[in-house]
Amino acid sequence: MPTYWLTCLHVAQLIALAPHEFGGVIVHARSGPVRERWIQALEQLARHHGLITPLRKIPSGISDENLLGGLDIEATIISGKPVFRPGLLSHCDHNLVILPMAERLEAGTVARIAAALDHGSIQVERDGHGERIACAMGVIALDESIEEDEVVNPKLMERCAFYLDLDSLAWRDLPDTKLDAEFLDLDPVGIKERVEQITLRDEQYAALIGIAAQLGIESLRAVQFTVRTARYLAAIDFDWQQDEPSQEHLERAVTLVLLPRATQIPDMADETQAEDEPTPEENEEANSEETQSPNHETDVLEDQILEAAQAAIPRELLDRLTQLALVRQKNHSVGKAGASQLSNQRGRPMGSKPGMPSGHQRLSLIDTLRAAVPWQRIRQLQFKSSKNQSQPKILIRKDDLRVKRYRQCNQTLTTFVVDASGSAAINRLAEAKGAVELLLAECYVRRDQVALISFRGSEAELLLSPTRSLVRAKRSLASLPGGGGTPLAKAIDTAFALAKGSLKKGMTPTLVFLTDGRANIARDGTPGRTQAQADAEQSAKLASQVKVRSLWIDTSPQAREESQQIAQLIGSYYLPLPHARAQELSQAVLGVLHT
Amino acid sequence: MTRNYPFSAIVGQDDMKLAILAAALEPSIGGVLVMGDRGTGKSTAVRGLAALLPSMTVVKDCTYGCDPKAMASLCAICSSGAKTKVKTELRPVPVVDLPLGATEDRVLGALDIEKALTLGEKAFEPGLLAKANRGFLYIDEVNLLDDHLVDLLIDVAASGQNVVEREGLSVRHPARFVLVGSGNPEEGELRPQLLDRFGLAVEVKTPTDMTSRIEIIKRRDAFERNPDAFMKIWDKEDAKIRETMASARKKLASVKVDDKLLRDASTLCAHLGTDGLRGELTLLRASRAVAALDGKNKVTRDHLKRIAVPALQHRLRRNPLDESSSATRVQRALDELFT
Repeated sequence: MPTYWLTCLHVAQLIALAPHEFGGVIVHARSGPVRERWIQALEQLARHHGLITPLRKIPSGISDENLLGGLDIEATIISGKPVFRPGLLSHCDHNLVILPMAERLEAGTVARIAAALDHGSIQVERDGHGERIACAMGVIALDESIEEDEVVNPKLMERCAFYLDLDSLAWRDLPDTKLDAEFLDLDPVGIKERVEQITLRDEQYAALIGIAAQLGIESLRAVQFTVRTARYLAAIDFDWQQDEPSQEHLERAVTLVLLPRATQIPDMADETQAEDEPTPEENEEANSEETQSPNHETDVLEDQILEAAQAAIPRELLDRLTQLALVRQKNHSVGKAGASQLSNQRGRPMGSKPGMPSGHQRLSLIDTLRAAVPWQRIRQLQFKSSKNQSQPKILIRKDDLRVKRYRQCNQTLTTFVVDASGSAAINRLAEAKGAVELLLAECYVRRDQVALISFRGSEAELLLSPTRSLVRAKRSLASLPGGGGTPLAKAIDTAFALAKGSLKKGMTPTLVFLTDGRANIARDGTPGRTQAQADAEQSAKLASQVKVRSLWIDTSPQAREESQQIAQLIGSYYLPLPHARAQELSQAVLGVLHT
Repeated sequence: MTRNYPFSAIVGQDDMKLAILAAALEPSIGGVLVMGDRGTGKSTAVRGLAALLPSMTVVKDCTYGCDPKAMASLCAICSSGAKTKVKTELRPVPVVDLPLGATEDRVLGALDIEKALTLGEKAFEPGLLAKANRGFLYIDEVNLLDDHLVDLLIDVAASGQNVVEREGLSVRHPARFVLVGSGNPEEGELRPQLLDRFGLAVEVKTPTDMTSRIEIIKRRDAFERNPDAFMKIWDKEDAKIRETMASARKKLASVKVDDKLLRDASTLCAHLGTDGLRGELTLLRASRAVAALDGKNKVTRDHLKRIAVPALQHRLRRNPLDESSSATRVQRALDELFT
């Protein structure tokens, strides 16, 4: 049996034992038998610990009404009293909940789940009903991402103790046998009592903090989870009778919680080699002063734990996990996918209007009731005098009917494709940076997004993935270097690939090219003006098939024909602005794109 | 019900704690916005605040918690019966959560459907804004709040009054509250109009030095293992802050600001080019609150320097070509002007 499978089972055991204490598990795996097996094992363990199975699921596009609760239409009409139907989260107290396709969860949904994970309860203030609902739960986030730009929202990752990568396991390697008795012999109540007795020594706390620092983990929640895991592992361990976790428990906790979060892996082998080399006495002294280690014992403990933990996990897998952690760190604005797809029935609620419900228009019950309510006494008097039938609780007329209105704000993504080659002088790059920031300031009022692609040398690079955060924009703009050739063909390809992707997500992309249009690097990266120009024209023709609005700003001192030709091929609006300042650039873009 | 981690047990983050206390002491500062990385104790600090506030005197049974002494800002019911002698009661200062996903009717208040359905009465059911009157309105993840709710808040926060005109109802009631927001700047910027409503803004970062990191983990772990024992230890510390707050509140009205300090504030704001007078006013009010918390009778330059960054950093015009953060720019100006 592969040891990693055993690790996965241990994680299942811990999360089933104390769902809310550990927050959850991020399971990176595609749908398949291995994942099924793991979920089966998890459910078996969950039943053993008194959780309700099968576990509930929160779909990615869930509405607030279903998640948090709302007015129950049928019951309200029948009883003549407002009846509040609790949402999915209120069924999750002391339980686990599955988030399928967690990478596609909307930011708003994630924020609500995160609030529940933080406080063990959620405040619901909806449809005339206010209540604090207990939901001390844990989540099983199934991360099915394949592409680099799909990642689970960092806010959710932060609040889940464990990350698993089941894709690294093959079905044939898994054992046929059922779960071992070791997993099912536990007495949950006894363990919970024991956990409270177990404390860490000061050196153990210090060692865990040190390890987190060595692995490049900044968040303290991660360390907190490690401490908790170590305590639970010690409590589960029958052979361990002391009130502090053993070193082995700490090692395992580090393997389970900290290592998968690592953004850097300190190379233990190298370090020991370096230590073996004879070093002059003075040097050693200087070193120890530099590191200012508060306690030598802590350092030793730290290294021992880290080394053992690393040994417990295959190097190859560790590298993969690190890669995932890095990708996750890079992509801050995530989980937006699908947030703005076109639909008649979704979007931001905009109140209601009088009208009959139909296929596209849904009845807004609460507003209908509101409209009907003031007239009830009068209508009932009328009803009594006209008919002898039994009296209905509430009388609704056609005029009362209200339908929901949604505003489908289609998000705009403005992508800047900036020429950072030597020919586009450095000062123009500064102006382009300025323009991006000015536009961003404009954009976040309208909740639009901005991206930045720069091209120079032989590559076009997505420097700023779609965002509306000024903080991120500033950071990536600050590190925009200049110089080198002009790979125009590559730039056009990259820009339109991004535009296509955002079209798929329901956004309206617009492209802004800032270049002098002097292509001199061909698509395959070789220099040469003729081939480069031909490639650029070919890319432009291909790009013209994608229906995207674009603006071509020619920044060369004298407007050139080749540049204009490419703009025409793409179908761009051509705008020669030889000495444009940041302010003028942003004005021009706004002028063209919003008319 | 989960217990809140005690305010006094938060390690470090002195800027944030000072700003929260100052905003709590002097409501006219206009609240505080706490932005920072994940897991830095933003919401912990705000939620811990509730335990530090003294109780307030209110008109008995008043839905809006009217202050019997402030005749000008009474609700309709209290002001109609103002001539007779009013009964009063003590209530804790409300700290009201505005959760994401709240609907408009719960925030503003709306027709009480239950009464309408069962009794045929048109009655107003007050919302969260009514509950928060004279207290605090806390919005976690403030940058993810729905646009239409932001619009409502901006309006009410400016006027101190909530006006509901819907379904034939016409209700206005006082809604003076201190706005407290928190969020992670990487998840999106705040609308400038809303940003402007916050008197103070602080940025928090995860502490990087080992000693405080270890201390944080140790305390959190102790809290988790045995909250009761932990609270008992920190109750004393919380009580100390509570006393400081109480004496600062008495002192606040008599804290003096001399002309020299006024000039300092104006010079600083002019140098930084902050828009309007709001920056200067907030800076002065906040400096006075800091002086009162220190137990001093007079505001000194030192008080001003301690609160200048939170009071001004979110009021600077963005300069696209200046890479340094707003906080650095304020600090730089402070160093240049007042050495």
